[in-house]
Amino acid sequence: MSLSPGVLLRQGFLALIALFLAAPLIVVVSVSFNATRRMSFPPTEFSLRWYRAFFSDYGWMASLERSLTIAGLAALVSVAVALPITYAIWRYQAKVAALLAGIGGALFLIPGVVAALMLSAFWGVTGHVGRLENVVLSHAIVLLGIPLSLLMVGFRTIDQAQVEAAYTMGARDSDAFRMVVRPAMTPYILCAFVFVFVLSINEYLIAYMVAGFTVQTLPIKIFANMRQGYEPTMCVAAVIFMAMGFSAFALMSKVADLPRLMGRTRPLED
Amino acid sequence: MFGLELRDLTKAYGDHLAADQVSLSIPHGEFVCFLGPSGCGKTTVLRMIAGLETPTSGAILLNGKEITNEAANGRQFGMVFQSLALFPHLNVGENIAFALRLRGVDARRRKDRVAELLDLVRLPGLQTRAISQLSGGQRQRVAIARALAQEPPVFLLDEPFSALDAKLREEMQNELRALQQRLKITTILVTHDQREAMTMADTIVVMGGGQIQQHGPPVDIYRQPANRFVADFIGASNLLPVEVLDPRTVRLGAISLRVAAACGLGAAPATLAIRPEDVLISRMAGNGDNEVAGVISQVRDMGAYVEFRIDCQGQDILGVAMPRDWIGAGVGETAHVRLPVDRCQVLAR
Amino acid sequence: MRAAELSVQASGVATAPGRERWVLAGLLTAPGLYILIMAVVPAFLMVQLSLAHREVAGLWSPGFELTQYRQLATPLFARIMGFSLMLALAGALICVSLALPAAYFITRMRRRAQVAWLVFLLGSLSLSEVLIVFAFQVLLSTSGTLAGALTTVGLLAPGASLYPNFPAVLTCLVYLLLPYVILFFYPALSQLDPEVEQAAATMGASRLSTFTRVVLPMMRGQILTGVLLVVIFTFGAYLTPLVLGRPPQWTIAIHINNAAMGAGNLPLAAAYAVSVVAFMVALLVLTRVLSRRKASEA
Repeated sequence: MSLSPGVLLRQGFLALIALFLAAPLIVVVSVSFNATRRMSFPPTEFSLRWYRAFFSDYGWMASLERSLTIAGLAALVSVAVALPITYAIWRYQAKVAALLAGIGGALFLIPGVVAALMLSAFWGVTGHVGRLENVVLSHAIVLLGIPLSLLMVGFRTIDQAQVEAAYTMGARDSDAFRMVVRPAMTPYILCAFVFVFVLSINEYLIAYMVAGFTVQTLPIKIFANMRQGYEPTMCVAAVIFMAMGFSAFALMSKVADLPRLMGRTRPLED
Repeated sequence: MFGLELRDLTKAYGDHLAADQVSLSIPHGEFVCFLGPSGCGKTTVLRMIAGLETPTSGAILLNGKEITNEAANGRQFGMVFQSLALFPHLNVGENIAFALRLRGVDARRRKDRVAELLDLVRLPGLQTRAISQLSGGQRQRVAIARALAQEPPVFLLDEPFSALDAKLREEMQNELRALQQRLKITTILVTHDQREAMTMADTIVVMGGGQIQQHGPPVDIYRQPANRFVADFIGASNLLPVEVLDPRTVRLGAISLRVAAACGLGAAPATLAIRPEDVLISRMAGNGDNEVAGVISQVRDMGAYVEFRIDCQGQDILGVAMPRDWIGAGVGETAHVRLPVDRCQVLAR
Repeated sequence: MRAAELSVQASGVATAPGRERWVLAGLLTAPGLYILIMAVVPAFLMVQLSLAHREVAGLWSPGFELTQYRQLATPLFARIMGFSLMLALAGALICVSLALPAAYFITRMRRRAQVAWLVFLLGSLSLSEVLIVFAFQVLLSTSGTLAGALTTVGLLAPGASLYPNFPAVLTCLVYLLLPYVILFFYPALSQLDPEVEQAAATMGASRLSTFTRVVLPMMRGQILTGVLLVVIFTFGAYLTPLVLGRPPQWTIAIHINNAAMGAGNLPLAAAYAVSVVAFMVALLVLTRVLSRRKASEA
């Protein structure tokens, strides 16, 4: 394609969007490598000082570990709940399953603060407050819409005739699931897991309202620190988040057809 | 009996009858084509035979034993699907060995059998190839090999060649026919392509509206269509509205025509069916019975043959002539067509 | 007959109805219970809570009173809702007008470039609001780059800050939402048949007029839903207005949170939340009606 004014305009527009989205991240990343305690950009002197400080700080490490645990469990629960529901919709056109999926999807669409309030009231009533599992179960339900839609995309890529073919070759239901459905679904299950994991690890409001400061996740700790004033280790925490998020999605693009996962069904050649 | 038998097989979806009392006996080793327009119920019948669909009523018998309530994985009829339904996560060899793996056949015998089947479908050595790397024709062959791996008592194919281009389709048809002759396996193929049915089948079953309209050898179906539906669906036909005067005479507008037999039909409106290639054309009158004069309304020279339409007192008649028999007339000229008595079929309207 | 063929496809493999019921029960009991307990029960609880009687020290007792809703019938609540809606609509206008062309261009890229963009968008979309707000704080702060640059060229008084104010809140909100909205438009735009646009081109339409006359009208329903998405998100936004705005720029989310966590008045927070959800449902119905009417006009 030649560099016509139209192409230049388009590239310029996209470059500006990319710059806008990248700018705050670039600033935070470069400040994290700054040697001085003062926040200054561009960084005056390169140093890994704050990284060392971050990784040797018990409080930060505990928050990181807590966040990773919550995210891993929440992703596990949410995928484990979404898988049978989407399978029942795909395989049996079950109305109950469609209803459950509808509730899960609707929850994803209500304002975050409302979901947080609902769940915090719920845990308050049960009397089971300030626990890690509260955050896990709350994240899993609020983010359920993601595995539901990603797994549904996955199931739709499986030709029902493949399952039928397996039957005509003597496969039982369980054989067909094990030998045909599961291999085809593996990348989608993995992607759903990663997606929920990343969103859970970044979530603030629900974790805060459900467990308060007793379960201090990484975002809660960053926010608590923010209120006390600037601290360079916060930038390190931010960089860790970015690195985790971007590498997770880059990994996802390797194991699955990302355009298709994001809703493109029209074929896309290389 | 030895073979497959369908007894009053019916499948209802709500008020709609997808298959309506389909009864048929298929002797062992025969190649049967279910032929019909889309939505005629042919695929439904095939799926009921495979065990993928439960009949609303009726029975299916294999070698005299009722299997109506046996599930697909118990019947194990090999089936080739329209989409082929090859497993994309398995390679060619693993696809073919799928049924053998389910049966717990050991790895060495599986390997031998896969090699044997790949030879059979003329794809030797492609065991480790990924499905995505195969051409359309190769995929077809793998699907056939996969369905045959379990040595099924009945081999089912649902429009397997519809995605192939014309040349490849013909090649695959010839190969499948040869394969079936060699293996002597009872085979049922569903298609909407009458050419495919004509070239491959021992018996054609024409379906329409969920019912069997006619079944028999291909040439019989072509030469003696049982009803208007079959005459219309199989090949091109002139279907002319006539009135039966007596068992050997009908009237087409003002013209009276002699026919071979119009038995069973009273003095009622009927349809006269005649194939275009049976219509004879000449410039001069006086060549025999059933001659009608008309004006040529269209001439299409197709190279191998010439197609013409002639307007005979308001009746449009389509004819086909070999180039050497063609009279060289143009649109608007007068000509005479003859409808040979033994080629005129009279059918209920 | 088409319907019958479809139902052939849909019914899948013949399974005995009785057996199927057991399989479904096995599959759906646990997920159903989880959704019932964690979604349906809390939703009812919230409604009940909004009607409950407030006791001292953050407690409440079940009841059926409209005290909290009566408290909402004040100019203050109307002002908060009005501001939240205004902020949302301003955000929606900016997001949609940036996201639509961006998503359109992205869907027409080669695969590699598309995947790179998707990874970038997903990565930035998943970043915690805490982080974004923090990054903006760094970017906009007195000692930050932007302020420094603006001071140097004389556009900003030395020592002045770029936040907290309304533009900061709006910019950060657009930042948070832009990846969402681009990804929301992505499926529909990637589904558009390029031949439709080529057909428009053969009829003499320029690229711009193809976009405005062919692509935009086809996207009408999607655009309305995209706006709704922005509104929902903005009403739920908590940290952005809290950190980058002053009290006049506080959205409903902050007030809900303050009522619940600060004042310990759960019934009031619940009444706020129920009103917000009711407002959302009304908007949803409105967009449905609007897009349907537009569709029937077309």
